[in-house]
Amino acid sequence: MIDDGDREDLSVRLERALLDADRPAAAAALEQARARDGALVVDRVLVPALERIGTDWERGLLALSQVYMAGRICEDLADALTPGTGRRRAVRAGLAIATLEDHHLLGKRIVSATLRAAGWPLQDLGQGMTARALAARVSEGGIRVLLVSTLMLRAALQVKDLVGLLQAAPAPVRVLVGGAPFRIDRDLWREVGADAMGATAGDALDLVEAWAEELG
Amino acid sequence: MSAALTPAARVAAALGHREGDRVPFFLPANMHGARLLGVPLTAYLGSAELVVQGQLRLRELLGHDAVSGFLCAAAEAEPFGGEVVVHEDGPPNTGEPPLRSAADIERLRPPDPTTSPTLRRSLEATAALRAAVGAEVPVLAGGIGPFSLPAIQVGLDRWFELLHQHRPLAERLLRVNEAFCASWANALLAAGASAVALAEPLASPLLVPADRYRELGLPALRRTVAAVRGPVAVSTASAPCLPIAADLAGAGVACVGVSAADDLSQSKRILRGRAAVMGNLNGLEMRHWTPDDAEQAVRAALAAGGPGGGFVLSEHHGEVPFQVPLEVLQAVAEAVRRWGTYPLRWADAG
Repeated sequence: MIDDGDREDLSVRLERALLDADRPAAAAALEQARARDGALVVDRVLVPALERIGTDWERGLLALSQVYMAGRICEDLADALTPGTGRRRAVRAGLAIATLEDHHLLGKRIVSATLRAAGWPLQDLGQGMTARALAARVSEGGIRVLLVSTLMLRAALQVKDLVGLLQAAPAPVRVLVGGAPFRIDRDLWREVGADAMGATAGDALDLVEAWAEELG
Repeated sequence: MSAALTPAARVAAALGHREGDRVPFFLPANMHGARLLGVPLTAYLGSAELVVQGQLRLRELLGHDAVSGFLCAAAEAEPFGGEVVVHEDGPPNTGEPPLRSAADIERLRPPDPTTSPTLRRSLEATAALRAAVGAEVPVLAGGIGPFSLPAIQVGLDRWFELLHQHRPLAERLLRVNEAFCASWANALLAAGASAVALAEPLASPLLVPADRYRELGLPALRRTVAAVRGPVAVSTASAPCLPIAADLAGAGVACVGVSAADDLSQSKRILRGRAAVMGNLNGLEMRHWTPDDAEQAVRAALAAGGPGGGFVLSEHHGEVPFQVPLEVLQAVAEAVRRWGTYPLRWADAG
């Protein structure tokens, strides 16, 4: 077993490697943590590193490209962890992500990478989707928590149509939005009827955890 | 009060860091002409003639200090094989990124901008606007900077991977983009544009680390600006700019567009005598402004940016959202006329 201080050191080492986009160094830090305390490696080492990176981006201390690279590397490394070491959560609430209207995939990839690295099974419903097509996919798939990423204001405003269409879904669907328009206009998520806005992938992770707890 | 200047002289005074008769302003409402003419947006952006009519009507309505033949940022995907996807209620967007592999980048040569129907339309609109307004009114043109163009060429995710892990490919793409940007800017200037504004959002430290931008993006911008035969402005297109503003000025641009997240007074201090400042009204927030909100926002921007010249009041993204009511744009214009006349004694006193 390792103590909290060791885990913190390994998490900081991992964070530094991720910020340098140094995949071998990140893999080495994660492997050292796994070898010493496999069961907690994701929760105590990997997720805190990603969350600190997201928070530092929100505070203007890091760049989005670093957040993206960190998420991508962690997603790959978490996939390589054996099942016993990660958290493979059983969620009854189906969890999915999509981009509306456009083909700018960055936000979706950052959030997907973070959630998957943290052990959440996340369905990717695609990109460039219309509100109607996305609502249909959500209903068919029994999705209860939907994450929507947008880059353009026009796409962000389509969330309003999507939320309206989801009223007809077989079960209530919670909608979490993110992306540049929602960061620049902090009230936009309310305007379009979303349930919440995530400024960072860490926000999305916290909300998904809280909602999954509530939804069971 | 100084004698009334022409818009061209007013803008020239600002770019020369002098106080003219009033603070110049320009609202890049690239789509609102459709509303003024009562035509669908897709028809409007699909016709150089309608864009010219719309821009002239908008200038009549607002009295702002320039016109623009810019149609949409997505147009620059076309020469690289990309697609422009049009909408009736917002700006055209790009389809899937056209460059999908390393081999696509390795074999890429700078395309001729005029192979794009949308860019040709923009050239046509620029030339017709110049003919319509003569020398008295600046005709602005717009393009995407060499470091940000990859967002529509390869996608932002892939571009970040190239920047962090495949530097030779990133440098190769930047070289192609420098040549393309310069040739597009020169075509616009030859058509009659007074200046070219490059949107370079990826220069923002919010998106790419400043040291990485300084290593790769800034030299590309410097070489691009050096190859353009006219004045260049650069903007981070609503992303924070301040930590990199002095670097952008050092690349030889005449004007730096800053965002609503940037402190305008500080931007002026950093750029004083090196580049004029353009900005920084928040276009997304404008959707909900009352006339009073517009007046307060304009007053704050004028007080921070106006004294001493070197300032052009504008929206910070480079494109006013189509959802912003015309009445808000009129309220902004009215507030500039009311509070923007030099000398700004009220600002000095306050």
